[in-house]
Amino acid sequence: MKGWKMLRNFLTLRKILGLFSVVTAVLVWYILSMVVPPIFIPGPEEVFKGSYNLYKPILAASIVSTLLRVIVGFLIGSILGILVAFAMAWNKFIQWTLDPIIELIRPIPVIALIPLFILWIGLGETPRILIIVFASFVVLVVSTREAIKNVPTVCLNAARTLGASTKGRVFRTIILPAITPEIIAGIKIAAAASFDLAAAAEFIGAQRGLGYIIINAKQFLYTNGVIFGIFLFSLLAWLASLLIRYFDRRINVWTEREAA
Amino acid sequence: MSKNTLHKLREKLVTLLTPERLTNLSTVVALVIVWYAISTIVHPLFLPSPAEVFGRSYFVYHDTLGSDILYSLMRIVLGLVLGSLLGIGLGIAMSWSKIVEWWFDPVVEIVRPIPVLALIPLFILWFGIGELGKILLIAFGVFVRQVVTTREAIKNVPSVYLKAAQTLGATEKAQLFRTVIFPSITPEIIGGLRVTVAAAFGYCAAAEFLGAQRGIGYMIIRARRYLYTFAVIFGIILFSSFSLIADRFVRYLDHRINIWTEREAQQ
Amino acid sequence: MQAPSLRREVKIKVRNLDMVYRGRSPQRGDVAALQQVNFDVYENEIATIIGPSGCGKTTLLFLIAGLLEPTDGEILVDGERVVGSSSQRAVVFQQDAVFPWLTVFGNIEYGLKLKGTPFSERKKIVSHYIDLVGLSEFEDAYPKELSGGMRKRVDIARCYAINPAILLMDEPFGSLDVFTKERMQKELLRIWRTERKTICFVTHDIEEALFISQRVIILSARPGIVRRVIQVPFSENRDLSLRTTNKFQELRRELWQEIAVGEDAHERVENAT
Repeated sequence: MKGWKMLRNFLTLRKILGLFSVVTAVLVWYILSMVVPPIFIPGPEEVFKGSYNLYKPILAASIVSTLLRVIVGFLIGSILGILVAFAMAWNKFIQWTLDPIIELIRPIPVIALIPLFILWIGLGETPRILIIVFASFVVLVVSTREAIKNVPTVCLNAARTLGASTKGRVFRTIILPAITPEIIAGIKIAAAASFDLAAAAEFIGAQRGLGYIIINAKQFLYTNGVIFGIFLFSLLAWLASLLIRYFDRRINVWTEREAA
Repeated sequence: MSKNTLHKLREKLVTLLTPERLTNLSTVVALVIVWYAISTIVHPLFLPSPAEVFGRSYFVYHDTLGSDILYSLMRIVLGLVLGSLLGIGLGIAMSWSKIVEWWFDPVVEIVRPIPVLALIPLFILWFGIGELGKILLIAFGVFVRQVVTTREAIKNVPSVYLKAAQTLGATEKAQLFRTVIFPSITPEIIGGLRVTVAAAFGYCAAAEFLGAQRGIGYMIIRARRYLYTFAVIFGIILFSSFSLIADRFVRYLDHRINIWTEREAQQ
Repeated sequence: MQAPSLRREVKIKVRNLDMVYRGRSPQRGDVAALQQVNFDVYENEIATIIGPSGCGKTTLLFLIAGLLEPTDGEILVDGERVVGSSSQRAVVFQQDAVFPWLTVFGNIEYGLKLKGTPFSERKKIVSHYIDLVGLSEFEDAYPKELSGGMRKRVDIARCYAINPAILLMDEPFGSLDVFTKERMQKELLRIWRTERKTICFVTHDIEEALFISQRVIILSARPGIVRRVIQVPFSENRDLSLRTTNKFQELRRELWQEIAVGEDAHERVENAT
């Protein structure tokens, strides 16, 4: 009896419609795959079962390879970006010199730098990771700088009158906590961009990774593999965003948020 | 020149050359000088001089340059327009009707994490390396962003505006959307547009790298194969310049359309 | 206090009003915000609803406006039941509700545009009300260029322009500083004397209530019931010096007692359960 009631509360119209929507999409996929040649739309079964069987031996290694690139690039870039933004907030001279450089770099579509990096460094891992570092760096520098600028002056003044005398103290106790939500917002953007760039970078001449699987499959016109690879990529990106959201909630318990 | 005009000229110069602009200008000049300096020491494969980048690129590519630029820009514009219209449209539809929202919500949530660039090979398989595939790719990336931004913006409309409108006679949903929600979300939408435009340039570049017969990205990839670093850098500068112009344009639109928004002193 | 002259019409009738918020889960019971509320508001008078915080006065106002639906009972305006919001029952909210994307002119003509009033007529009406609230030079200004008090005036003009049957105000001056607040109270009286309207005003400020209204309806703490209705004896021409008169202070003390007793009683009841 109690279970039935719980089920009734859970199954709102919203969830039912949502479920229907997904089911319909999968059904449409199935139907299309039977009508359209498999080079365009392979059926769900072939995509998942077929690809899994084909790529099983290298799957784990590929995922690890891609993840490693993303994580390393993202971490280095983000941390550097945050540190540089701090340096700029700390020292006016640094700000004056770096500001125009950053403004100059901002409009560059980071993707476009891949061929340049390959020209400079060759076809190894470095250009790929470097691209991700670069993108994460730019995103975090800009968002951290904005965040620091937006710390309400009243908080800073209050801190000073409460005894935070040195710049270091003010920085550590006020600015740092205040900008955390915006930094996390920047991290979300940088993470998404990192996955994007990892894919693109792997397409251009990688020998390992999910991107390699995708581009390899494309060359053999194995659409199953292409879709499978995209699926795995998206899964990873989604898991990463969940992770970030989890930390977001843990760290930013204090932020006032409207009922979402 | 009379003393008066000299004085006026000096005044104008002073207002034009704010300390900020001066530092920006001097950094750019410094960078160009550094560029020149390094390029003389380093092998032109790594860093060709500015002269080589602009001069030689033009020399080698001048016959295709115009059409390359045109094709890239066209793809971006079409992709942006298509993606924005569909994205904003769906965002509005989802805020208008609960049924639409409940139906499309899982779709949007599933599609959101897909790295747009990862789709390029798929789109090439489906559409070949012609225009349609690239435009659709850019449109897709723009679409997903715009749906999210639009929904957020509509959710953030202060409810007191809606209540006030209702008590002033706006009883139908259409009236509320037309007279309150649309004007209210415009700043946020245009703000989001800046980011989307920058992303669109990225999507275009990547798509052109992986399969194109025309475009700035295509030029870059070709140049790389010939080890024409100067052209690669030239292409990057082209992309960045247009991206910058587009960004400034959106900012200009922002200022013109949203004269009513309260803004803290910017920049 | 003398009963009002029977010649005056009753504009708003609130009858047996109940408002219960259903509990969201079995643990949280239903919350009765208002219980069997009954009172009248006469035509062209300013009636203030006052009471301790949480007593349901804003809920009551929203019910009269039609923004909320009562659980039981009815509200009649001009003899007709209130169903849903309408431009006949315009509301000035506590928050800043002036549309920032419209100029002062645009804001005031908003309701008229919705009604389909032709432009020439709109212009006349809007100009009239801009002058009435004293913002004649600011016709083309955007709200961001105006102070809080000025924006409130735009809001009032906006509501007046559509000629509603009644005007409802939910602590409209609550977010203003003391000086602006007092000025706005005087302004409201002046506007009201120039163009009569039935105004239903909600506040927690006793002095404000006594200063601007002809009638004060005191609500008890939750669940809100009408404790008392007081007829304010001052003439219509009031100025700020009124606040220092003995009569005023006497009434203020009375009201204060009434509300405080209500709060204490409520607390005792709450602590007893």
